[in-house]
Amino acid sequence: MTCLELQDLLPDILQNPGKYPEAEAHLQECADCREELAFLRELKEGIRLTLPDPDFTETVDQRFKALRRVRWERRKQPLIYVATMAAVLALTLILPGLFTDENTPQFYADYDTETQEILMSIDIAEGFQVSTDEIALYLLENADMETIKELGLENYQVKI
Amino acid sequence: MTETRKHMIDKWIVQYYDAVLGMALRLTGNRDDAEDCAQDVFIRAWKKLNTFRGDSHPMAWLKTITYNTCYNHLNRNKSKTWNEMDETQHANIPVPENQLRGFDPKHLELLSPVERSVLIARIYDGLSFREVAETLNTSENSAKVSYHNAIKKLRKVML
Repeated sequence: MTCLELQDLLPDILQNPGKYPEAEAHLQECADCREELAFLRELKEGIRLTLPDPDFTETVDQRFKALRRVRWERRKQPLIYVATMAAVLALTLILPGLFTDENTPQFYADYDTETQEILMSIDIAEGFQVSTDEIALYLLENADMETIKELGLENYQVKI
Repeated sequence: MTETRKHMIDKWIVQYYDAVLGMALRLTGNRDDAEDCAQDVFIRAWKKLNTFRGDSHPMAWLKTITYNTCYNHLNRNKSKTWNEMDETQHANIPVPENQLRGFDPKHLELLSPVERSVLIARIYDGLSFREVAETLNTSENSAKVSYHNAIKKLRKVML
């Protein structure tokens, strides 16, 4: 083993002494590499002493803060999801109605190909492809009764 | 995502918060930034939970997220100095002078964010060059170059 090869390995020797017999044999013979290892050891110790690991009791409040943030994210996600889906569904119900004589809600299967493609390309979250039926199904399972009624979905038959 | 999996993060916050905060402290050098980063780590972990492979240790996974989060933070706040902690916080820490050969935390400010991250990841947290490269989204060779540059700069001021 050369000095150059050993330089890359020194932090590993520092972390797990005894695990690299070939490198340690080199260290026995090479004063420069021993000096380099001693330098790293002291650098590591310097960092540790300057910034000791936090104490559990000192960080209890921060733990709660982190928990609250994660729980908020967890609650926020379905809310955004429902709101986005409600908006998309509202658009899909209202827009075609403006162009029809009966002014009645129409669903995914009734749209022309171009509109269907636009609907299919709506990327709600991480590549999830959504159709109107999927939106309706999600809302029926997750939204409150008032929203379902407002959207005229209470008697809607999901086709998927 | 199952309920149990969803609530894994809550358990991890209790178990690993100190370890994550410790790493963030060493990388950012000050408590406020470290606390912000530590919290962001758990938010990111929650958002990416579906990419966590159950067969690896959670701390190994959190470690890479911590390095990535802190490294991005350092890059965004390049003007900030390392170790802005109140001097009194160091007052009670015994520093055996004969061992430190003039190590001063301020020396770490001489390093670029990538040099500091690679150095601490290698000598303190024991990440391999491959792991460092994956975590910081760089090549193994670049990580090695940054590590050796960091050592060179510190040797110049410490010895």
